Amino acid sequence: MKKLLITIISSILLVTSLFGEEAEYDFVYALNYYNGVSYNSTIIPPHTKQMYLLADSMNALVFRETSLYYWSLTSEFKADWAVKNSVVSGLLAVKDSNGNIQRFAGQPYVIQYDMRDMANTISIYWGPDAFSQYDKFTKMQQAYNNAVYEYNLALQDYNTKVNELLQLSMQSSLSEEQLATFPEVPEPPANFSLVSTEINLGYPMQFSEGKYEMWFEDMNQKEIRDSRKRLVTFSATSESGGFKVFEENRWTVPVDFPDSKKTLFTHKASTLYFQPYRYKQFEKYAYESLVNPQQTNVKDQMHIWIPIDQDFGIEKLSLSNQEIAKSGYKVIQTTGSKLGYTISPLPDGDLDTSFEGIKLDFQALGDTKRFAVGRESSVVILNDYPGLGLIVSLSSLFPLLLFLIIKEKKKHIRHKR
Amino acid sequence: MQSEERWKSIKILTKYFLKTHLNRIDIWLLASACLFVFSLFALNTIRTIHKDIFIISDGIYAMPTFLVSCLLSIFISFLSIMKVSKDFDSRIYETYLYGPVDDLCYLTSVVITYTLINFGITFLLPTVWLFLLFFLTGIPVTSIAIIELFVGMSVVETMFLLGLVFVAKSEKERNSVWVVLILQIFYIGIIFAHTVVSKYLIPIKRTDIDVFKFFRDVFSFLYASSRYLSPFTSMFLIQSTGQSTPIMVFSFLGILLAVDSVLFIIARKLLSRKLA
Repeated sequence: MKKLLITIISSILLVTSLFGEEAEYDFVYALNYYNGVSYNSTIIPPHTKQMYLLADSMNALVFRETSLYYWSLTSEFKADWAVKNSVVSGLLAVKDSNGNIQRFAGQPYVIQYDMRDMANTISIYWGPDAFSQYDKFTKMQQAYNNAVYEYNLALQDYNTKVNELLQLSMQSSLSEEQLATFPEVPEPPANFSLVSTEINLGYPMQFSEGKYEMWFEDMNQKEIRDSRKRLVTFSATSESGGFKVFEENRWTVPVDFPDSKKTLFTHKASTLYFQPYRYKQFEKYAYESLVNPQQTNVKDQMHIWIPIDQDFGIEKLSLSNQEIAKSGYKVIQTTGSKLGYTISPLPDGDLDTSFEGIKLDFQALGDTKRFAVGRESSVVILNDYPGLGLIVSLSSLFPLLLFLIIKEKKKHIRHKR
Repeated sequence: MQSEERWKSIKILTKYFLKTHLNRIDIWLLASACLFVFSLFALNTIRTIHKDIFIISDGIYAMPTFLVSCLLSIFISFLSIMKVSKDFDSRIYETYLYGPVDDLCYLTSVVITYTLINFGITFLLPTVWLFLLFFLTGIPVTSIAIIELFVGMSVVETMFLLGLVFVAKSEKERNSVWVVLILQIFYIGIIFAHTVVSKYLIPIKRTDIDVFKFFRDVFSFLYASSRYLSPFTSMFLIQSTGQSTPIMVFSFLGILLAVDSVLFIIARKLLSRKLA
């Protein structure tokens, strides 16, 4: 009897232990961060103790419970949102370097921008603004859909009328009255370029440059495990104009040329295209940590230039008494199976540009060897002629030659004596 | 001793030391090697634009200046230590001290001699050479390039004075060569090892296995620590981070000058104690 009782109790314990145990999930910060150009999203897993944000820019953070797994191919932790994805309710606490603690409550937010000029139109809206902006967006989208529908109907009507006239013309020649009723081609609606995210819940994060400490508190103001992080907010170290430069044969691989004591070296036979851009310089480690909080790169003092957006204010480039205007260009692929393309100026009336830029044909620019293309940067045309390498290499032996000459002269003087 | 007499002795000794060095091929060979390093980088730029049509750089001569400074630092330290140890070994030192020459005169003459050699090979000759390269290739000589050459010269000077302290301190003068050479090679090695593992031996694709992670961590720690101890690291950092601004450079030069003065005083004290 006693044995039976023990067996029953242990079976009950075993069953409760199997079914009663709750799987333990991980807490992560899911971040929608501003990188100076656009918003991107990333996660900050528990082992990443320090996170970076751009100072004075609005970011959206949310504390989530999920299941993390290690993805060895990229050596980083990823979230399995399908297993668990729940927003943790509570308050986000942020302590500044003076010890002042601010607490933030979650709010709905939406991010919107115009695809034609993302850098200048991107915005994040919070609270009631988020709802009104999203409502405005859906109404505009609906209006666009309606316009497209109307356009399709008009196009259908146009095709029907044209077909009718065609059939009539095949039977007998059309009278002037009939020709006057020839329908006009319907105008398609302008492309819808506004982009919006769905309304999400987030904690607004906008801080001035500095170091902070942050953690997440539940409804009872108790700190949730794995939520404490160091937060570093950083600003651009400098700002400048500049260009994206590419060579005629590599138009898809532009090189950044910010106006910062840099020199572009090329040769006379080259043709380069310059696209004006605005650049910002950031501390490299901080910027890379913003983009990928799990990065394992070593902190150094290097800086990085990030192209922010096209500088539409620059319309021409003044080079040694010549002014070269920015214009549109069209890239035309070579027909047939052979790879290749040609870049030609945009024909009059054609608005479909492949790119806009300033074309510099150095052959046509005369004999000038150095051009200033900004406040601090310049373009230098290098000499190149047969035997240059040999002349330069041999000339560096000049001190040795001088020594031999002096030695020989001394020997000669000694012999004379 | 009267200061006038002292200066006269210093002048005579310096002239003698310089003459001895300039009559040997090694200095001239070294000067040619340094110019060749600058030429190689200039030619490399030309070859690159042949292939890639253009390159954008913020200092073509930064790397050769650093390489030349490392090479000359090792060589001038080696030369000066060997000179002092030779003077001690051959007891020629006693001959110098006979008459109006004391330990301060001797040390000052040695310092002036090698400072002049350093100035000639690290600064003057490359500056002239860069202007010649400008006429040959079209690569302009910027103020930053000249400033970097000057910084290179100051770093070489500090390392050579450090060598003099070691030789004045050690009982067997010749042994201090090894200490100084190992120290310099260690300092320079940290920079090169760090550059190689953090720039070239990094996983290209995100899916690559990072086999050099341990070495990267070790060398980055050494590199970060050595910036306060090694003038080579400080110089490299100023160059590579594009901080060759007048304020940064003059602050660095000021620190080096202060260190040089301290090293000279220490070397002089140690030498006097040795001769007492």
